[in-house]
Amino acid sequence: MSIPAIDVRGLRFTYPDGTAAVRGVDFQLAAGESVALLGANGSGKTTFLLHMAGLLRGEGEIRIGGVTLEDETLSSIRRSVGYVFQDSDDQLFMPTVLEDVAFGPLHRGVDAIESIRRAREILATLGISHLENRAPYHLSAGEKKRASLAGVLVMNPEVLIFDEPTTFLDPPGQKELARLLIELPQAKLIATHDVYFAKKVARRAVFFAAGRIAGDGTVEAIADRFHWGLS
Amino acid sequence: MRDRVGKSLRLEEWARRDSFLHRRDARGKILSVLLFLIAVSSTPSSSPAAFVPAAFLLIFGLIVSGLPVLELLSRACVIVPFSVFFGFVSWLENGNALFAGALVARSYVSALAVVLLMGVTPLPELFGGLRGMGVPAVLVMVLQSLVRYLRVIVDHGARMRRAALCRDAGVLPRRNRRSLWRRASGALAVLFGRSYARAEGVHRAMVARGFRGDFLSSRPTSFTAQDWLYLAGTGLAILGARYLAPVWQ
Repeated sequence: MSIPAIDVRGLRFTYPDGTAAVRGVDFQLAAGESVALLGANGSGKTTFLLHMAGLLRGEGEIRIGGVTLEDETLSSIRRSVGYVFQDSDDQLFMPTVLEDVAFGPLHRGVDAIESIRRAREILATLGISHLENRAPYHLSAGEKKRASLAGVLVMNPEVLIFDEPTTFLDPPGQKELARLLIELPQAKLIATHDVYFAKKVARRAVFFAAGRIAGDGTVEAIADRFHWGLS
Repeated sequence: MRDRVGKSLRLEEWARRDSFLHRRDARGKILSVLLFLIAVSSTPSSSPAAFVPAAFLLIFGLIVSGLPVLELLSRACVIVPFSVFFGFVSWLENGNALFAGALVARSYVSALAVVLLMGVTPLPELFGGLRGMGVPAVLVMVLQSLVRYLRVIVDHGARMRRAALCRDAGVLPRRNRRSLWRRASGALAVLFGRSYARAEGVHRAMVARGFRGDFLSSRPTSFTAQDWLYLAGTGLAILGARYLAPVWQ
């Protein structure tokens, strides 16, 4: 049996203001599998996802590719987890797209010339080479999303995490993003409110409610069971 | 606020253009500006005319940079209200208007030199240059964070202003200043709260991509023979302007 890309046991997290955002979650994501995280606002999806990259630390056990997430392994786990944030403006913080995409490899010890080469390569793969010298704040929402994705893919992660990837995207942009995600071989965890998008990019869905996983099954079954938009 | 965002972004765009000055290594440019500032501050002056040679030197730099000269000249005016205030105080104290004018001229040419430096050097290179010159990493880090978070605050401020204008439509009575200030102070608190949340988001994104407290530049730096020539040339020109100053005034 292969090692799961993500294995979570008994995850709990309470924010300092006392809000219990995640209340005992068990979850597994197989290597190469895509799972959609559905659920209302405030149901704990983003808090759960932030734990997968070690950006929040709660109680319970998280194993990424068989490695337990703890202080000593945090750095190597962040290398294997690529996180695409909901708001691309959070993610694109360098003065040009090229520098932003090169940020990840550069800060993981790759030298400047090689970082730039890798960044150019991934921009070409995503068809946005023409944006490399543009300032991120001048891009359209779709271009920003692609640039954010490039900044994550350039690090060649084993697991990809997307937090509301369709936010700010128009229907053609959503369609294009879905096409891109389907082509990516990595294991993917995609938090979304858009069940149509979820159906395109994943077969399995889990439904979050009040910080717990309330349902796990095919996207259609979960959407039916929780009256989440497909009928 | 929107204009200010545009202006600050324009300076960054200018810094990415190409000219003889843009191509110079950041360390050389920082050193020449430091030398210029030392020369200007040590110029004995009893009249604004003492700074004419330095101003000529800067205007030559502005022309070589290929940037819009008038816009840069007006950008440097940001310092003028402060220096005029100190000039006024000095004039009240000793009654020498020329000396007060020299104070204003000194601060204006200094500000112009810094604006020119910013206009021909992208920020990551500027910070990289400071690091390369041995400025403590913590200090550079603080400067970088300051710039980034200021940008976040300005950006949020612009959005909030736009949102307020959409609902306000400028029809609120101007005479009700008290209510206006009360709302403005509330908005300021919200602005800082929201900017903090955005800054946290940016920080998370940076950490997720390997940031461990030290910004690295993806631009390889090298101090070429041309940089040495530039440094020697500007050094001589600055010294020349410095020693011409007493003659000029």
